[in-house]
Amino acid sequence: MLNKLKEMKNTEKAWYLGAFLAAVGLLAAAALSAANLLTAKPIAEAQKKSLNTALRQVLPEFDNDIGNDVLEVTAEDGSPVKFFIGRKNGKVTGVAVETSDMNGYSGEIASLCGILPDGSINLMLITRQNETPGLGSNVCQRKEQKTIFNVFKPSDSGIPGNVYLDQFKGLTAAYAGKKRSEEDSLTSPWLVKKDGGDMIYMTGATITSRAVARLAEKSVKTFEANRAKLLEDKK
Amino acid sequence: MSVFKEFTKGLWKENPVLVLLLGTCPTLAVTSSSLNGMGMGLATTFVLFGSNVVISLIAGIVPKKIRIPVYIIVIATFVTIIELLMRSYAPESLYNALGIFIPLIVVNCIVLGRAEAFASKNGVLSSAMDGLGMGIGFTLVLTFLGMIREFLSTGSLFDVKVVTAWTTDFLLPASAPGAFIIVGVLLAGMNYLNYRRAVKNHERYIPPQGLDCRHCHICRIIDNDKD
Repeated sequence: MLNKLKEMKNTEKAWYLGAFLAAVGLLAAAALSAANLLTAKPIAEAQKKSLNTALRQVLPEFDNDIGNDVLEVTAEDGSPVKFFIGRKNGKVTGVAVETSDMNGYSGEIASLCGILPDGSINLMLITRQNETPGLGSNVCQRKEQKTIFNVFKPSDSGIPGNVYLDQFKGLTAAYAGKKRSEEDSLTSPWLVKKDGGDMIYMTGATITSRAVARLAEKSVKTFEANRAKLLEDKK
Repeated sequence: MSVFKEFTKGLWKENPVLVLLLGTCPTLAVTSSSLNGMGMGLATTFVLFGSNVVISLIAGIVPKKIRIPVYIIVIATFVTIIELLMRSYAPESLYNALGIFIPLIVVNCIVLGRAEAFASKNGVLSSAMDGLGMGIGFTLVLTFLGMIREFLSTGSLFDVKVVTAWTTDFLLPASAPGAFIIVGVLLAGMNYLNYRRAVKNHERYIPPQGLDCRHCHICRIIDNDKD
């Protein structure tokens, strides 16, 4: 058998070449399906774990199975929005809004925004982004800076701050902006200052800052539009 | 050549990045931090090792006409496996940072280059050693390059701030043009060291042999024998 295969090494017969490629492809497919079966569970677990960690960060305490307590709607601009409802003893403690914006500096930016029952933003996280490292990424990341002086010190609990993301804390859909003067023409308080709004932005990363501000606005406004459905108590 | 030499040649003498100049795309694209460079290098090492072993085993029976597609299938299988493994066990931040460059290992010249130039002509043991050595050489260069770029742009190494007073990021080394400049400096340094060593030992500077560089003659221009 092996010798026969070796003899066929220089063949140009199309049927043999095709059959050989098909056999190799089948073997590869078998190996891949085995690998897929083995990793399907760990991948699902890893995804669930990272989602859960993010939800615990943005929401106040909750004790329900939040991964299955979701509501999916379409926002005004047509993009999908997913709500994760956190409850404690059946009462809603907060809602996490997952949404994304396609107009970041390099494509999609996705956010997870924790909103309290009164409609104000608790904490905002950027879960997916591909912005310029050192510029746009600084607007998006909550990163604890380790230095050589505290490498081995366990990190203290609490979420690292980010001045661009923390500015949204406490804002509601009704936010009217800070009135700075009489002749101040605030087009919309949710725009960055450069565009006549109220949000601080990072110089050199205006596009990223705009996208983040849009995400915050979309999160609270979609929450407000679906408020009645989201805040229903459930046993 | 002994098996040990097959391993060590990838580290310095035939280093895939600095001597063979293969795999430049991931080298430049993902090394913006040391951890990303190391992750990419280790993933490529796994693929190189696996594909070299399998290809050296099947090289005897693969028809000559379709050897490249067969090699690509083998390599793609290993790449998909490492991608699944990374998604289940590697930190999410690393997987997100490497992103599209993991599937692109399939077309990494190092992997196909070693399959075609080495594994298809040598036994299993030396092919395995070759793959391991090349992969570790690749990892070392990527990590080193990532360390240089991360240090020059933010003053930190492996996400740990070394120069605490450094608060504003310097963006050139972290961007693609900076990567080209730093790789160029590394290449010049590597050539200089090899050249110096040859002069010291009163040898002729011989560019690496048997690399299958059929189209490239740059190595042969550098010649310290000026008689």
